[in-house]
Amino acid sequence: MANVLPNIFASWPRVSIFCGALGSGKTTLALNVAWRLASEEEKVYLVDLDVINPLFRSRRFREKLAPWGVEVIAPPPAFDLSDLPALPAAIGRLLAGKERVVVDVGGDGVGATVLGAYASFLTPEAGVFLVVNTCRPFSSTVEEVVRAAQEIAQAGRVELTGLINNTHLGEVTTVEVVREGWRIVEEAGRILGLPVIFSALREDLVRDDLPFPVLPLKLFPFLPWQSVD
Amino acid sequence: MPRVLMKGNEAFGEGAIRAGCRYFFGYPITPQSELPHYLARRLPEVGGVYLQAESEVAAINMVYGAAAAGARVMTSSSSPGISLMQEGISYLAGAELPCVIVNVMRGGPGLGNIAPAQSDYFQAVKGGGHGDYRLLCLAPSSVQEILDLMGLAFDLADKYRNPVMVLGDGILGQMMEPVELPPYSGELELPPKPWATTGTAGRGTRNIINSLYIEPEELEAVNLRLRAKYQRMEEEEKRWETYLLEEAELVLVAFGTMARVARAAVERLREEGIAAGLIRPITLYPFPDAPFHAAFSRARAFLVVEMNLGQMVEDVRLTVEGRCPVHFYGRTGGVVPTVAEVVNFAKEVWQKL
Repeated sequence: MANVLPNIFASWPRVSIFCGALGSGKTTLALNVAWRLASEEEKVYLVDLDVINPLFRSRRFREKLAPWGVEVIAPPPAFDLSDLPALPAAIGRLLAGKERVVVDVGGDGVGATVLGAYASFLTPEAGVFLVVNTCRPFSSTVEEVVRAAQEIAQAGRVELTGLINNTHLGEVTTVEVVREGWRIVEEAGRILGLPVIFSALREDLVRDDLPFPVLPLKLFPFLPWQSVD
Repeated sequence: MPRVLMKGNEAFGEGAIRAGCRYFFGYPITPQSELPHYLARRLPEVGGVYLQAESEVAAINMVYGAAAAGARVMTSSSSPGISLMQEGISYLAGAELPCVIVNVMRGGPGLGNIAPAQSDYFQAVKGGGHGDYRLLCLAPSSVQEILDLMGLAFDLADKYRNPVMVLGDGILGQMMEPVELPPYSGELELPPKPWATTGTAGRGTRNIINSLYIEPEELEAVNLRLRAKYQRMEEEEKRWETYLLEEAELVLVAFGTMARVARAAVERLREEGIAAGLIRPITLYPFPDAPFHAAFSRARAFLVVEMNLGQMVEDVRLTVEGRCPVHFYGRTGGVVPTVAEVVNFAKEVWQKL
């Protein structure tokens, strides 16, 4: 049960969209899923729709992802720190087309508003996943998670496909923290009528006896003291 | 045990709420907009007021009004916005009004960019606005410390009736770390402010908040009184942290985000057999001299590392007074020195000793 792979990606939707509250882990999830899909099959386009977080978003990892077969769709690198809500024209074509697409949406309703602009390009096959970390402010209770889900779905003009439990406390994460998060996310899912697809869990914490499906996560450190180079 | 994963910008806001702050006036600017975004939701939950002003100039003058009325009040911005506030900050200092101002610094001068920087040290520590005044200035270097220092900032502001500047940068504001929240006990019992403009009830006379003194001798007396207050801050409020300073022959000095990089560099240097240590000023004004004095007996050189072209290094030189060479390494414009860069520069300094 512990490892969700490889089965889940065999029937993964052509377009998968990761939205959620600010700081819930959408970028980490999008990067991981894009990397997994690219390692299994064809080219993956990772659409960076985040226009509200200038520091940690998919486009930052453009060069790291390219050799894996993941192409980041975002304005040209010269505009990475432009603080402008600019979006490349290719996004609509990719969402409506036939290619494999992963979408990293900005946080909260304000971030999801950008997704709303693409509602007419989305086909019913698209998977829209709400990433939840119950250790984050405004996501710690069932009520708050439900409220966030409704707000983001409304702003993004989408129907959610499922929830992803990404509960963690950074370096001090324990399996117990993740279990408690699963309980809250599962209860929120019951109220919303949505399944919890899996728990995302740092690779080194994955064990065989977890009572829920797990996606082992590759982390993408970006703070200057986390890297020795 | 930490239970919450928080962004630095959120921690500035939550720390303020837990310190009893119920008023925020500000204007959005990257990379600190998560702070007003957070307080716009949190302050109404605790019966507070969040108001997005029409500009930073308006915001700082709203802070002046709320502080004059005795409220715990704050504003926040990033470098260009803080520049806009300077006239108001000078007035707050002149009128001796307590408040907390957060500057999540970005690249400058001018419009600069939204990348992290520390180039507003001079502005925060040496003036920025006009007149003979000082701001108490705090420089947290982790999300937990932001929470803790926001409480201290409000207490110091009230204690000295003085604005307090808390400096962060784009990295500290945007990064997430696990934190333990300070206790929240609803409305705090805060010391009375008999000077505040709260009407004449129970007092019979009205209080006046003002920074206008037409007679030079009168204004000079005010300035001398302020100076005595600043001297009291210098005697009582210096704060710092050291890392491996005992036995250190090469002493790195850094604050805020840069201190995280410098600490990692010290660890690398130690692994390579170089006796490195770190002084991290927590108060930038008053500047902590005690750890430097403690280091003199062994230190062969100081190396100041900043995300600017050399600002705090001037205070280090004033403190060291020529007793030891003081070197500097910095990157600017939003470029953050890497651990490897700092290590390499430190090794160059070491080899020339």
